Amino acid sequence: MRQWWEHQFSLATVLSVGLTVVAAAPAAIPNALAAPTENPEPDSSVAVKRWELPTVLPVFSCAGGPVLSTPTKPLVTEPSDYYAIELVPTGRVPGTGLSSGVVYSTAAVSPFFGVALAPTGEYLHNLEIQIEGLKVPRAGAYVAWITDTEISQIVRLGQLDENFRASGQTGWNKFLVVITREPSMEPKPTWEGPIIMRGMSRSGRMHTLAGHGPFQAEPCAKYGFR
Amino acid sequence: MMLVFALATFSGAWTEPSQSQKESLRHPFEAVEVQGMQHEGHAMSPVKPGTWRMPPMGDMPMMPGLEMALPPDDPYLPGLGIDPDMFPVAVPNEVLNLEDGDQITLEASLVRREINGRPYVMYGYNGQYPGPLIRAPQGATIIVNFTNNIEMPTTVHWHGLRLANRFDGVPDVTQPAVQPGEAFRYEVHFRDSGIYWYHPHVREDIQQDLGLYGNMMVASPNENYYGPAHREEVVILDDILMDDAGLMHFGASTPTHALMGRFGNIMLVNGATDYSIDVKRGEVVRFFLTNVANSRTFNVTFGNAKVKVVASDVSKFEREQWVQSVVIAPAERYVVDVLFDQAGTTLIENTIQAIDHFRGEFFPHVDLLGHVTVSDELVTDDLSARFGGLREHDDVQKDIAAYREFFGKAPDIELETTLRIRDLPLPIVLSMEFEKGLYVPPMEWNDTMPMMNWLSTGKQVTWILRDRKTGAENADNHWNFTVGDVVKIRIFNDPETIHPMNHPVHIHGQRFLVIEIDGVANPNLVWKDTAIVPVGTTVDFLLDVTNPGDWMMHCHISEHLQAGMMLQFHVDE
Repeated sequence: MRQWWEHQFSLATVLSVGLTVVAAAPAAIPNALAAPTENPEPDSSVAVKRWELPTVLPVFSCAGGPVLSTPTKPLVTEPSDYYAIELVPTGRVPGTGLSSGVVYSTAAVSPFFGVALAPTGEYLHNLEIQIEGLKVPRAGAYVAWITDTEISQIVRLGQLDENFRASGQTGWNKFLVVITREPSMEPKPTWEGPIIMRGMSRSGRMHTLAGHGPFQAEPCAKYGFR
Repeated sequence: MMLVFALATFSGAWTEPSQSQKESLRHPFEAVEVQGMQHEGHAMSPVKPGTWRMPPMGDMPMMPGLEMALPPDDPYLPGLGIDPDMFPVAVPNEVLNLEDGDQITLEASLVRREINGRPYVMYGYNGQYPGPLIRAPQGATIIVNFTNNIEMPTTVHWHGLRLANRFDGVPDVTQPAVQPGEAFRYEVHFRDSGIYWYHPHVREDIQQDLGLYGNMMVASPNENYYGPAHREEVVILDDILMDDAGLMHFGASTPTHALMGRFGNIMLVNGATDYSIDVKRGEVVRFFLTNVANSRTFNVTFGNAKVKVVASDVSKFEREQWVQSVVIAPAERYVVDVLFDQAGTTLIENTIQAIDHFRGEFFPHVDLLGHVTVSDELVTDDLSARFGGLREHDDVQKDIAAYREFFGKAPDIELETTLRIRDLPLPIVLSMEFEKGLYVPPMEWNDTMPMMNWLSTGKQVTWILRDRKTGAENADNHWNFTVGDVVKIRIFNDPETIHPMNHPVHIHGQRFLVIEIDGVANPNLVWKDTAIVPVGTTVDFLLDVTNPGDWMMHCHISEHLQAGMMLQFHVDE
């Protein structure tokens, strides 16, 4: 006899699963162990890539029936943008509300070309920030920062160049990229000006299953969530 | 005597013990009562011999809808129902120093192994764990007279060797599988120096996991092939999955853990849990690392000791490189030199950021692999000054230089990795859809979903290497090359599938370079036979076609291989 779950089903039911993507995970985030470098040297080996902006919210495939697979796609030669981060303007600063940006996050090249890790196992991410639609500030500068998702640790990545680009590296598991307009070009340990754009690493979307998917019908409080 | 008994019991064909056997024969090490349930909320019956037990889950909650779920296959363990005392005790492996033309015997058999003080029925080559370490000079050919005395068909694959095709050990491609009680004569040629290994190519998820593996060290005629070191240590990394009641069952006709591969929860170094060495202060130890785990990629750290990576699968690197850890995927090998210049104990560990998908968190995790005790006594032959330099390997650079003209060519073949699922329980599908829409890591360092993984079998999951131009999948690909061809193979690990995962891709009988990852050129090349393709990355292999015959290319996660992720190519003279 077939089990109930073995009968054909439509994944349209999956679409009914409620999703809330939160910017901060409920639990503590491990500390960074490999901080980005201040004003890193440009890496000529990392080509600037012009990909489409990533989709922010998760999109479920809607194939019905019991057999699921991914259809053959057109040939691509560019790296996947799966780990790219969309920068969303805050609209708080005149001249920035129509901007758009992306942070291309790729695995850092390891010394022996395996997977690049910090000594304690965190991935090392190369970050390439590209922003369009900004106006040059009348005073001060646009500066890129990286912070953990609780904003308890902040590292200055560097000032955006004349093309509104910056690059660097981080070893945090989950992180936010924040762009601010600073009143001066003097490096500071944290931002003093308003946030004009922000985005979250793909890993930051990782979210508890409590209240979702097969746990949708269960109370989240059972697992310590409110 | 024991082997005769075992063979008689299993009667020459691999058959699952009957239900009456399962019920009537008491397996003393499976009958140990588990304290409490395997997992809170799981409604499985109490532990009985020959019945499924769900895998250890830590504090991960039971998934609703799976309370009664079992893999759709019969459970299997070797020697089920037979007193382990009937089998010979396996012993640590011996070293076979061989010359060209030498002959050895190699026997796969059931053995009794002790892990953490408890006995288990497992497999061994020549009754040893790991199998004998074969040492031979580069250019030698040895004869291996192999006999299969386990209860299922098997072969021996000589991983990484560019040997004659008919001895590659792939059942139904290069030879018929060796049936229980039968024999096969292998001629094993060592074309390249370095560290290699041998293992079965039939149900690796069971046979390799339970002990059928061993190393081959091929010595270069150049005495200075490597830099100076005080000693050499051959280290095989592995893990094995067990609970309080013993080894976790395998699927009788198809692997369990087909989604992520079978991660063990007990770390093994050279088949044991107590690896340790004593060294003098200032000693340089050369470690030859091999990962034989079914699925686990290790991130090996050596405390605060200075580490440099020297070589990998089929050659040295173009130049030595300082590293803080060694990431080694299944079937890969790395040669690393380590200077122990501080007295005290240095821990060898697997240091990772694990993921708890239920809570959506990373968490730091460390597995102890071994100890190095460094005495206060200073080593007499101080090599620290020479260790402090990084050698350029001109021989490797010259060898690779001839291939650089091909680096910029368009890919000859473009593959993508994907999978197809069928009849998986709905809660598992819901979970996979939820998780992949949020975040899938480039590498899986731990079993993030033990219940889901355990319940997925090769009947429900098909892993796929797909040609992006033709759409041909796995064995439907028929590549034809000629000796002398240089072939660029681009592999894209698609992150948008329903369950993306990293794949250690192995190519039989040839060698290749990893020339680019995501368009970034590799600055320090090495000849490989296995290389990891993380999720979301595009990796370019440059295949040096040197060896005629019919060869395989496959994922070396044992369960992915058994779930179809393999293709074949032909090389003409």
